[in-house]
Amino acid sequence: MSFFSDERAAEMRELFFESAAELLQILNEEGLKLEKHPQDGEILREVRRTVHTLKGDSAACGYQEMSSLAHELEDALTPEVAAQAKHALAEIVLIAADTFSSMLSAYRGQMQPPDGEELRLQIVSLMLPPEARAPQRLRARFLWSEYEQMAIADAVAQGKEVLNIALRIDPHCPMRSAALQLIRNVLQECGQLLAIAPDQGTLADDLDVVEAAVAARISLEAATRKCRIPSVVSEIVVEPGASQETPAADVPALVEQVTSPAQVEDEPILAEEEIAGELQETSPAAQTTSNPETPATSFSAMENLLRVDAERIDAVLNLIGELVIAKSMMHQAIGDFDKRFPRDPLKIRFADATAFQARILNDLQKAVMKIRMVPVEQLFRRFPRVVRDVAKSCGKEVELAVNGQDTDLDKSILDALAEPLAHLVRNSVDHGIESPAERINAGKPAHGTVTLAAYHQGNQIVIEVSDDGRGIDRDKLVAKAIERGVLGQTEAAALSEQDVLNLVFHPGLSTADQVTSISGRGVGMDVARSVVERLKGAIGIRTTAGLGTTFSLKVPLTLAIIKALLFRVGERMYAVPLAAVAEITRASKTEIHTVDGQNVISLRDDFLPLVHLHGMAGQPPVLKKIFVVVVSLGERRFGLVVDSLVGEEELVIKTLDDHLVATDLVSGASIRGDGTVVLILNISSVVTRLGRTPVLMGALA
Amino acid sequence: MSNRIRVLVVDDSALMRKLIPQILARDPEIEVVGTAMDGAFGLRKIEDLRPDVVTLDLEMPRMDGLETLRQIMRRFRVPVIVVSALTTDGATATFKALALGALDFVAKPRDAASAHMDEIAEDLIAKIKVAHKTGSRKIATPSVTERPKPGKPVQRLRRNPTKVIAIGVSTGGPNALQYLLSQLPADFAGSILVVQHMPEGFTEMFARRLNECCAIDVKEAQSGDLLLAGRALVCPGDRHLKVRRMPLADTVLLGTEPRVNGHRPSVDVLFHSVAAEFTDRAIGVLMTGMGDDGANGMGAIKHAGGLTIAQTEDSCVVFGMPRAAIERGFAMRIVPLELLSMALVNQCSPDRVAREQKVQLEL
Repeated sequence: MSFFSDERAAEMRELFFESAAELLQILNEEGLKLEKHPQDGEILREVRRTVHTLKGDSAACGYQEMSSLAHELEDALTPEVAAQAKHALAEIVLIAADTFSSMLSAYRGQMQPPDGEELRLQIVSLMLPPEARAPQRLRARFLWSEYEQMAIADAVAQGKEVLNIALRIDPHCPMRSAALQLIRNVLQECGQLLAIAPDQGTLADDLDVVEAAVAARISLEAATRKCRIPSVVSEIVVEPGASQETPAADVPALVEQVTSPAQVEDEPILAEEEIAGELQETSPAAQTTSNPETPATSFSAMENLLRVDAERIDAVLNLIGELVIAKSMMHQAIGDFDKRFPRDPLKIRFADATAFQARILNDLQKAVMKIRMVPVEQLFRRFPRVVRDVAKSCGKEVELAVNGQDTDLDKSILDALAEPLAHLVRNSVDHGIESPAERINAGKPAHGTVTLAAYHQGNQIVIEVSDDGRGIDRDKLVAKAIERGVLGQTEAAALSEQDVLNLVFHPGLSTADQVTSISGRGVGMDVARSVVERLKGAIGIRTTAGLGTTFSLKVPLTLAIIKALLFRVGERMYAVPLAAVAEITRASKTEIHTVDGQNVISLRDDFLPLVHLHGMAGQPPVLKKIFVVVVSLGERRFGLVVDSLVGEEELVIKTLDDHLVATDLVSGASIRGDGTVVLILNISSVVTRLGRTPVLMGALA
Repeated sequence: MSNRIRVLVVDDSALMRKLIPQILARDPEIEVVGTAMDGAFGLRKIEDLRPDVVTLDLEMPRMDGLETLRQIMRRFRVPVIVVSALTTDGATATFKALALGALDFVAKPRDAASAHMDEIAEDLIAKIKVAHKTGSRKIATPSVTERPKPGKPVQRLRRNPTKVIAIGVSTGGPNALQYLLSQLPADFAGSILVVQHMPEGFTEMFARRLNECCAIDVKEAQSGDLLLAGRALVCPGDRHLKVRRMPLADTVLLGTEPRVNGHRPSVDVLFHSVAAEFTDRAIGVLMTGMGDDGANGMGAIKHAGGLTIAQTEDSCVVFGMPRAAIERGFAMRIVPLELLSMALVNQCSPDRVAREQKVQLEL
């Protein structure tokens, strides 16, 4: 019976999931704003509009649970409710965002979604006037249909006594329809049944309260007794019918109720002129309320948005990669031509053509790269909610400040960074920021600040998570490491400041005294680091006791093409990302010292640990003078000892399957124009595995 | 190719901007030429693309639907079909939109996996075609500028109606019905029952709106409501409306029987019921609308001795249901919208009814 083909329906669902995720993000953001300004009508409208769209979209995809919940929430999002509920409303909006989100993932996994009953109850209690929030008692309404009212009035006019009877059916009563029949019989024994709700046609299953009007043959007390049917009726209200005070004359009053506009509960509908007038009034208002931060241009940009599968862009990027290889092939061919015919005038034309081609290729590559770039804001915008929730659950006051959110980053890197960054942010709030009391004692404002910042640095992007908390206690960290058997006493004494801080990334170490549900379990930091390193990035720590800690994640702008430094070790050619190279220096054999089993050279009054790549290539060094490529990894520096330098080149990274390379020393390979294969080194593992840094072996493994 | 109906979809939901064009893609005569995510864009795109019909969501950021509609009406006069959500606010806005000149409305698509979607799709496609044919408010319906009729009593005496008038109406109905009912005087002696094809959730607001601008009383029908002179009961969406004569008075009864002619409410259900219960006191009025719901019911009323009236073609937005009744020979009168109220007033006037009864007695 499906309206669309399966393929279409799937496509539709995919679009729904995508846009719903966006809507939930907005809901989270607006919910947070609402928490700060619970009475702000514009925020409330935005929340409402978001929920409204979510409702419509989920209904269109047949996700009834979500749609009906959104519907109920939408109804609760009125200024009246907001005025009354104050902060509770924002809380519910945020809970709703979570509930919708888990519903979404259930739908995605084609599982039964959570029923959201808790949320529903909260919404309902929000909508009830305060006095009605007490545990529900039987509240009979005795709303009769017109004909029933007429019958009652008629009975009253004949001098009969009319009783209104309301019965709640015992919730444990198993056979509802039988119960209903029983109640009918009892009511008929009390007198002439003038009105009953629900009437016979109603399904007994959701039956809760039966209301009836009876022209009584017996007294009110007797009727009450009669209706007390054990284990069928749990609650009884019997009262004299109201019609006695207003005998037959209630008839016009009744009709008045129907016709008088004053009785219409909702906003009365305006006549035409009034509508026009109203619109005139609201239109300037609508213009002023339209968000000043989003000028029309950004809207038109959005309207021209195109959703493209990332794979398609990757395909283009791959082709460009091949072009880059083709370019260097051409380059080499021309170089050879040059040598053979040094005076041929054709050579200049070749050179011009290749230069032109190279420039276009460069632009093309940048343009395609740009397609993959998204502002880090996409990532940052999740964090206000994370910070709020974590801060709330550990009783802290934390604000999130965000800088540089319009910095662009490759989408795949951005996605990969989401988890590590979330962990760092949680960690900062949970461990970094002190409790308000502690902060006031330290002379700081009670509320802490966590700052997320992003900026470009050469071909890399740096994302920093800083807090203005207590800073990392190095002594405590070392003590803990010794206690856990990660370090020996003597090793600990030899650690540099930076090495101590890096203990933070050791699996199984956490400085928090208690393990909370948020962090402090000691897993996560090591995972965060390994994710960053897999992205050919590095993670660094800076900390000042009492002033705070900054974690900085440095990742390449893109993963597909890197600028690399090529060098030879033995027979092979290797490359490292140029961004990691700090400098290149030469050293003679005599300058190499051995300190604590570690080869070092002195570089501008600082010791630089050396890493011999020959361990990898399996050949001892024979040269008197060595080349040292100084690479930085986070805050640390190492010198890679290489045989000769080849040069700087753009490399198109080809990922290597696991079954091709059984080592993590190499993170990828590339093909140069002449067809030679270059292995791209994974600096962090190279340093770990080949550098003799015994004290840190555990910490870095 | 160029004969296809060019449609612009204005909706702030990305999903709807995809879904609605896909729905419309089912019909080869319709071509979606563009979408817009809010009113301001919608206006710009109307200017660029010059669509034949616009579908418009009312709930949008920046420039909302009503404001957009007002500008469309003022600047472009493109027929607009409102795609409306099922909320009280939604219904209110929808009727405001109809008053502002929107041609018709459909409920927002729900549940792509169910048969429900087929109905909405058919409804939307049919209405777009009608809109294209009609153009923007070609039919003059002065109703939208009607002020509330003077003389609406604060209290009304309960009088039994002289006649029971059953009205069936579909596309183009809201405005036509508003015109008709607002022409009736406060002391109108008949009782009116209305089946307007309309999705569930909209009828209550619709009835309230009519009540505001009519001298007679209009309300959404509930089971047990009385048939009274000077009152019109509008059948709620997704229910059938029938009449039941009770010992003390005549009442209406709502039911959830299956759809008839693909509709619930169905005009035929009401007409057959009115014919059976009120025979020669019944008047069936079949007004503008697609399809043939109510045509056979007109036959039932005719055979029971009642009067049947069909609206004239040139006053209909869609001359489907009245035509069906006329073609089957079930329409005893064919009356333009402007004269319909007069005809009903005459038919129901107590003097005339008394005369008729006298004639019958003499016979």
